[in-house]
Amino acid sequence: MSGALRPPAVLVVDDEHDHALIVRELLAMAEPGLSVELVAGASSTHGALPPSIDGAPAGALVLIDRLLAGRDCYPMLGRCACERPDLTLAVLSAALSEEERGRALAAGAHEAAEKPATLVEWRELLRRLLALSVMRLDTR
Amino acid sequence: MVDVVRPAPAPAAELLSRLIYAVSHDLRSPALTLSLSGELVEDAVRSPARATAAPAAPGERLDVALHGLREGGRDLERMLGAVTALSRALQRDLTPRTLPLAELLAGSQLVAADAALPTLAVHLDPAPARELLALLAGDAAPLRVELQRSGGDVVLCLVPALELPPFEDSPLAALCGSLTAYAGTALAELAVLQLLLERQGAALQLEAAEARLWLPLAPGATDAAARALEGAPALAIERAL
Repeated sequence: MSGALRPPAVLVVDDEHDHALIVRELLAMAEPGLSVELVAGASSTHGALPPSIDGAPAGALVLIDRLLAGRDCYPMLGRCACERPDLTLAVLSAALSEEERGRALAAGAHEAAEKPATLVEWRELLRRLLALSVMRLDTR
Repeated sequence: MVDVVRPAPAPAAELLSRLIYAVSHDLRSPALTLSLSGELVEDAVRSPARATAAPAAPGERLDVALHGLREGGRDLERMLGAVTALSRALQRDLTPRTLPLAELLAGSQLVAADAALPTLAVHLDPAPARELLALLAGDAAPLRVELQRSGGDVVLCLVPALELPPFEDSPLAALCGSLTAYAGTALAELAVLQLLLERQGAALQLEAAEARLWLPLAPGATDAAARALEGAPALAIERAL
């Protein structure tokens, strides 16, 4: 993916801090200079959208962990999809069944996937998600 | 004290289903952290040129990986520790015996509408009940416990003095539902004690502002206790034991 074709920013919403750091590292390797913000998000599953998501740059890619503090992210996901339709929303989970993937997509995610177990697979997944967000930018 | 319904224990199959789901999902997360961090270390060590091409310094990337290894290991240990504690609680030998409430609650400040209540005998292994009360008391001493008779149980009511993370249902159901959120917290300790008490016919209801513990009265003592309570003064008494 070329540097010119990328989302304006990526938000990583994950209360697994180490996962978030690793994703940021992989994004930095894949797309040097890409703005990446980590959002703990643990207490933000109910009520208003977390300010960092509410104020995310238009067209940003948001990677959301399915479980935040032990709760499904779907309520927050639904609000994101409704209030910020410009964002590309991807749900990631350490374990994601087909049924859960369907629930994530129904809740407003544009993609939902299991967190890969290897760096090679992570790089491939992130490339795919960055391309998806660029494609959505192009079609708006 | 308001009369409340004794909570029924969650069906074992339901708890098992929740726990298996939590184990299969929650443990994957630190396992992923460990394997990915290991790969990041390998990447940084074996491909320094590639590592330096990215904005973060190689040393910084190594720090991320080492942190991931350390924290992933700790997280795994924390969650396995909770599962181990539940397993041990299921296997633990309990030694039920008959003892008066006053002996079980020694050191607590008892409040009862019936003077005879503290003299009633309960039948259980007292250790888990004492551990539960000590945990709920935190640093508060002496613990103030209100007593009430309800059918074949005596109900202990107290205000928890420890901070708990938000949870739904009971401590045991919450822990079985999410190891990520509750393993390693005081709620996990309460879940283990709840399991030990439920094995003995007791029941626990816990909310932020109030905890209730139903303890079974000794079988032979129940009728005698009921007779003893007939005509007992309906005055509140407060006794520091």
